[in-house]
Formats: sequence, structure tokens, C-alpha cells
Amino acid sequence: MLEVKQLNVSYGHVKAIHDVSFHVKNGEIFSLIGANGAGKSTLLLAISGVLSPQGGEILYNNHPVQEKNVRYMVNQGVTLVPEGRQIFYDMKVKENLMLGAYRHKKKINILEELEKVYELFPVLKTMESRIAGTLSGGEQQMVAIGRGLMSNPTLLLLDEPSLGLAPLVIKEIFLQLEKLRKTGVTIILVEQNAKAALKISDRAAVLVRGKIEKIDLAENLFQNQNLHEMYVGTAVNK
Amino acid sequence: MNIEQVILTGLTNGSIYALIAVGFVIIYNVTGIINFAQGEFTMLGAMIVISFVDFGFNMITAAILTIIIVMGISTLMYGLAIYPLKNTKNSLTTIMVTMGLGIVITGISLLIWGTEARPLAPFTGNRPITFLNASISHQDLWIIGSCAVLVLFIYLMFEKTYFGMAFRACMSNKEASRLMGISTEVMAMLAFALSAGIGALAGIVMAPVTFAEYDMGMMLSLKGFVAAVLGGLTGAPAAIIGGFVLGILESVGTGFISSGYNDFIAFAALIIIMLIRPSGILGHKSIKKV
Repeated sequence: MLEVKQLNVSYGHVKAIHDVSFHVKNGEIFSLIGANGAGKSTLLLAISGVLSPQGGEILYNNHPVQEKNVRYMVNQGVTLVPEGRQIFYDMKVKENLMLGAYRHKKKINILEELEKVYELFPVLKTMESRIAGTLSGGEQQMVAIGRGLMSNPTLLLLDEPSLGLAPLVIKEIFLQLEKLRKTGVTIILVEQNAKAALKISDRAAVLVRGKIEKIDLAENLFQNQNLHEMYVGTAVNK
Repeated sequence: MNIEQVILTGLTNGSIYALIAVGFVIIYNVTGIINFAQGEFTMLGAMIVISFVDFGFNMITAAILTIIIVMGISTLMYGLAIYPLKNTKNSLTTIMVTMGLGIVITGISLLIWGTEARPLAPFTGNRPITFLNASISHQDLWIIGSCAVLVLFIYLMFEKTYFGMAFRACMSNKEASRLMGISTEVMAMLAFALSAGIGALAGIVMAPVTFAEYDMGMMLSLKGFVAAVLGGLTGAPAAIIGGFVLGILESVGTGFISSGYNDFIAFAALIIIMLIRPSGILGHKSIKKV
């Protein structure tokens, strides 16, 4: 589905991603874990067309897309749910969700997509007329993910969905992501909460200072003593 | 002058200021740019419609053609001068460019129409209507009515259409709008076109009550800007309130002090509101962009 080859991304003279290569299979949850500033979000921005890479290749369904912009990628079914949610705070929940289908409004039935989102996050239906900025952090994150799903994506890029949320809310969000996987959506998940991410992922990559340190099955990474101590927080056997 | 007359006169002038201020806030909220050529769109609206009527067009055709032409001019202006500045971080640069564009439009208008003030007959008769101890002309009703219709149009377009929703999304969060696949550049161009159309409409309806001149745009820009800032630069309702507040303040000054204090009152109001409530009447506590 997605293949990233020798990708390089810079901010001016500062290189954020160095020769990164990996692939993501259809229908899997692939996590990118690593410390702050490792380049995880930059990688998602490059895949989604927000940033133009300085070198390397991004193949989506075998077509090179590294030069394409966000609009093209959204049309191709690639949707980014950005860090910090970036919802439309002064607009209603329903309007936020409907805007997620903007590029596909002629191709899809918006009301059907809305119902699918409401099935995943029933609480949003009860507050569809509320102004999004008045919701709690967890509810806003549901709006952000729901908005991303409105375009009926084939690849969903999730950047730090647990950021700033209470543990119970994080649990709920990750539960819904697992449900989402069952619908066939491929997910690339960027998370600092490595424990939660690895638990629901099929495979994961560890990014260190813009380079991929290790790619493996999520359960192997979860058991890896060094990585566990560094990113999950406690040693495996403790 | 009695209080009813002051209020009616204020509402008439306020409607013009409101129309210009709405143009200001639409462009500002979508692009972050204060367009000081907004008054020139109003001047063009007045001058072009008078030319069409002089050529023998009926008023409705002349008005429609005028609005289309002014919208076309603003689209061209956006494409040639504003779009190339899309990566400029310094908002002062874009303000200077819009001022420059205003001067260019004024200069070209001077070449086309000369310095002579040009009249336009009222749309429907001259006889004033008496209402609550005050008299109001048919044309004043046209001005207030145009403003009311425009408010309804903006409400329906922004609140009831998918396009309007996307437009509001750009006003709310440009980065997130891009992620939804909304072209913020196209929306910015449409914001300029829509604002120009609104400005032209203001020029068309005010032309019969004031002689149109090539250099009237600058003062209209300043008054529209004052109204927009008074309202709070947050959206069309704020701009409309700002316009009416400014119109009534000016009318009070004219009615009870002297008509010579018109401009003084407008700019004094701006200074006072900036000191007391910098975010404007309906503004949020902090405005990031200017």
C-alpha cells in the first residue's frame, strides 16, 4: 500500500528525516515511536503532502506521490489527523465532521459517512450541534478522528491522538482504533505513548534523530528490553 | 435635527460603512490581509454604474454588469499582486501593497473619468417619505434595504451551504482547512471577489445620494476600516454593528454639533474604542493577525 524509500526531509538547513525507508501493508496498524523531535510528525506531514521531501520516494499503491500536495493525497484516500487536533473550534461538531468529506462530497453519501462516524463515536451524535471548542479534550480528539474518517480514507495518518488526554480517554480512543482496523482502514500511528501504540499495532518503527533505528513486529518491540525501558517506561520483567 | 432623523440618517450612512466593513472582515478573516483598496471597489462601483447608465443601460443591467466587472478587477488584483505574497510573513508588506493598489486604481480612474464629480438619478423617485417625525428618501431606503438583503445573503451563504461552511473553515483554521483538501488560495481569491462585489454594491446604491468622484475611495476605505475595527474584525455581524455604530455616531455629531466634525468623530471613535476595548465591540480578547 505505502512504500517510503530513502526519504529525506529538511526544514531549511536542518535535516529532520535522513534516508528513511519502510513499507506499510494494506489493513495494518503501523506505529512510529520515538522521543520528541525524532521526526515522527515530519514523516507523517511528508506522506500526507503537507511537506515536500528533498529526496527519496513515496509510493502509494505503486504510484510516486512525493511531489503531490495535500489535496491530491486526500483525493487518493490519505487523510492526516494532525497533532493538537486542529479542529474548527468555533464551528459545530456536525460541521467539523462534514468538512472532512469536502473533497469527496460528490462521490460519497455524507449522511451515510456521518452515521458510520456516529457508530464509532456515539457520543458525537448527542453533541452534533455543540460548538467544537466547548468539548473536552477527548471529545475533540474524537471529532478530529471522525472528521478524518468522513472522507472514507484508505490510509489514516494519526499524529499523537493521545496527547494531553486522561488515561481512561486514551483507552477509549485506542479501543475505537482497533475497531476501525477491522473495517479495513490502514493506519499509521505516531505516538509518544509507545505502550498504548504497540498494544494495538501490527508492526512499528523506532525513530531516533530522524533515522529508523529498528522496524519489527509490535509484540517483539514491546518485549525488547532496551526499547521497553526507553519508550514504554519500565523494564519488561519489572 | 430630531433624534428620529439622527437615527435614520445614521442607519443610512451606517449601511454604507457596514457594506464596506463586511468586505474588510471577509478578506481579513480568510487571508489575514487588511485590504486598504476596499474603498476603491466602492468608488469603482459608483463610477462604472454611472458610465453604464450614461451609455443607456437600464439600472438593473448596469448594476449587474458593474458588480461582475468590479469582482473581475479584484480577482485580477489578487492574482497579480496579492497571491505572489502568500508566503510573506510581514503583514505590513501586504497592507502597503493594498494601499499601492488603491492608489493605482484611483490613478486609472482619474485617467478614465477625470476629476469631475458625476451624478446618478435616484433609482425610484425623489419624494421623501415621512416616518416617525423624520423624513427619508427612496434612495436611503434602497441603501438600508441593500444592506439588509446582503446580511440575509451572507447568512444564507455562510450558514446554509457547503461552500459557505468551507469558507468559514478557512476563516477558522487555514491549516486544518488545507488538510481537508480545501484550497485556501481559491478561497482567498473568492474572498477578494466577494468583498469587491459587496463594495461595488455599496457604490451603486450610494451613487445617487452623493456625487461619485475618482478619489472617494480612500476616505471610504478609512471609514470602512474604522467600522470593521469598531465591530471587532471577527465576522460579518461584527462589521455590520461597527458600521451602524459609526454611522449613528457621525449622524449625532452632524445633527447636534456640526457636519464639519464627521471625520473627526469617526477617527476619535476609533482611538477611543482602541483604548477602552482594543478587540472591538464583538471582538475576542486577543487578535493575533495584524
